[in-house]
Amino acid sequence: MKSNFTNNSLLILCIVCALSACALSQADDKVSTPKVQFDSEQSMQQRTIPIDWESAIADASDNANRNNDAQLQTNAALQSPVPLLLPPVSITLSDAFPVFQNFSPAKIITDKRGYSAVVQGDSFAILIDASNQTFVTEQHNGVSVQANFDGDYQQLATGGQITIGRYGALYAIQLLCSQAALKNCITERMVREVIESLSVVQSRP
Amino acid sequence: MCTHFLSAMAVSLLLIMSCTSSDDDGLDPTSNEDNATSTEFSDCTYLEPGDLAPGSGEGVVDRKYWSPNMISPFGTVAAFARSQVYSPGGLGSSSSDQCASENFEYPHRDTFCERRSADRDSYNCPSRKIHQGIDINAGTRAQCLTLLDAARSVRNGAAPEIANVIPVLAVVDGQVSYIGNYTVDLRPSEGSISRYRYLHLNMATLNVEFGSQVKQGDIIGYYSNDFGSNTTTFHLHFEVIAFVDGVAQYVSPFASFILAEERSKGIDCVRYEG
Repeated sequence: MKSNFTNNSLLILCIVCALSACALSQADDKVSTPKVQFDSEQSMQQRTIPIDWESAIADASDNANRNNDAQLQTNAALQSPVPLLLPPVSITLSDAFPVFQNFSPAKIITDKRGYSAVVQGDSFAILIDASNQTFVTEQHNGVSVQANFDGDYQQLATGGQITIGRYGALYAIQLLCSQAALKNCITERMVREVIESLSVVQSRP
Repeated sequence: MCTHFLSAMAVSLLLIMSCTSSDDDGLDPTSNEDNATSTEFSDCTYLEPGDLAPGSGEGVVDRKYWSPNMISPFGTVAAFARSQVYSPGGLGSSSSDQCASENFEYPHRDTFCERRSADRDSYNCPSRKIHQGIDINAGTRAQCLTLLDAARSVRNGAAPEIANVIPVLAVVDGQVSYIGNYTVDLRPSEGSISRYRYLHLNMATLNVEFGSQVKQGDIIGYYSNDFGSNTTTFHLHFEVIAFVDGVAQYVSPFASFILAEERSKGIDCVRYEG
């Protein structure tokens, strides 16, 4: 009986030791194995850009005086922290098919850093993403973002994009083909003509 | 007594061996299949950012967390960043089996700069003819086969909801800023990301519409193969567009995705050593 007890105790002791060794080994692995550590030092700095509301208000006033056909009536109640730029209700674009494009009323969402708008044309959609915030890379640390600029054309899978600066705010203008099959329906000239057509339809933060 | 002692030693040895072997094959795809919809995962592995599939183009090492606070678009469901084109089922693969087991195995692989036929710009890829996003498979081989069956049934008139197997989540708080033919865009409520773009969801059964306010983790739709009037393999193409130095750029979601996988699944992801 005593012998059985001793043997059973020995068995349990060995199993406990083995389990402990296993647990310790796994714990060691956890300690020695690095978690994902991409370059946390390269976590991006962000900057909020000041807006030149004075110029935006002046331009909005000019547009109103000219009875501009931008989509003011549908968006009068929106509160945007950046000036609201929208295309007119129709436009002629050199490379578009059809050349004369009618646009649906803009669908707009706003938040504390800007707005996002979608305007549906006959054969493509215009997406505007506006923001007063940007990542700043090390190379641009301390360099101001220009208040007004027109960026380079960027090709997308089913469209094109250009970023512009107006009144300090940033606007990413994307034109996307409505039909997935029309992979090449957008040209740089079309995006630039859309940008030229944009006007301020709201001028208060 | 000697017999008992030897038995005890043998049991102990077996325990130690099984412990070691489970460390060695922590990436066992079978166990992943079994656990796909649970919260238990083997620790994941990833290839270095920019380490593209052989023959698929030149990558770039981008370790930046462009979106350090996002969660995985698949939450606790198994997800595998891999090449859609150069994996089984893709046009660049010799296998046509999109549900092949290897499509549901680690390591995660970057595809941001993967070669494409047409020009597409990005923040930092060496080439202009690139992918602009990463592709992610979700679930298991069994769920993939279920989805294929469901898609067949939908083509034959069944309700599209039967193909809603794997939910796709809002990676951050925000608003839905665009819904295209096979595209859903999410504008985060703060920060310098312009939009997160999800491609190939089941567009007939979206859980959101333009302007929908979503919280991180809300279901926006379901994993699918929708490609407008066509279909692709079942996968999620995921893009991040950010304002960088004042310019909207396509940036690599890969590093952020790995971090998000760790957070969402409570796992550690380690560099794959081959």
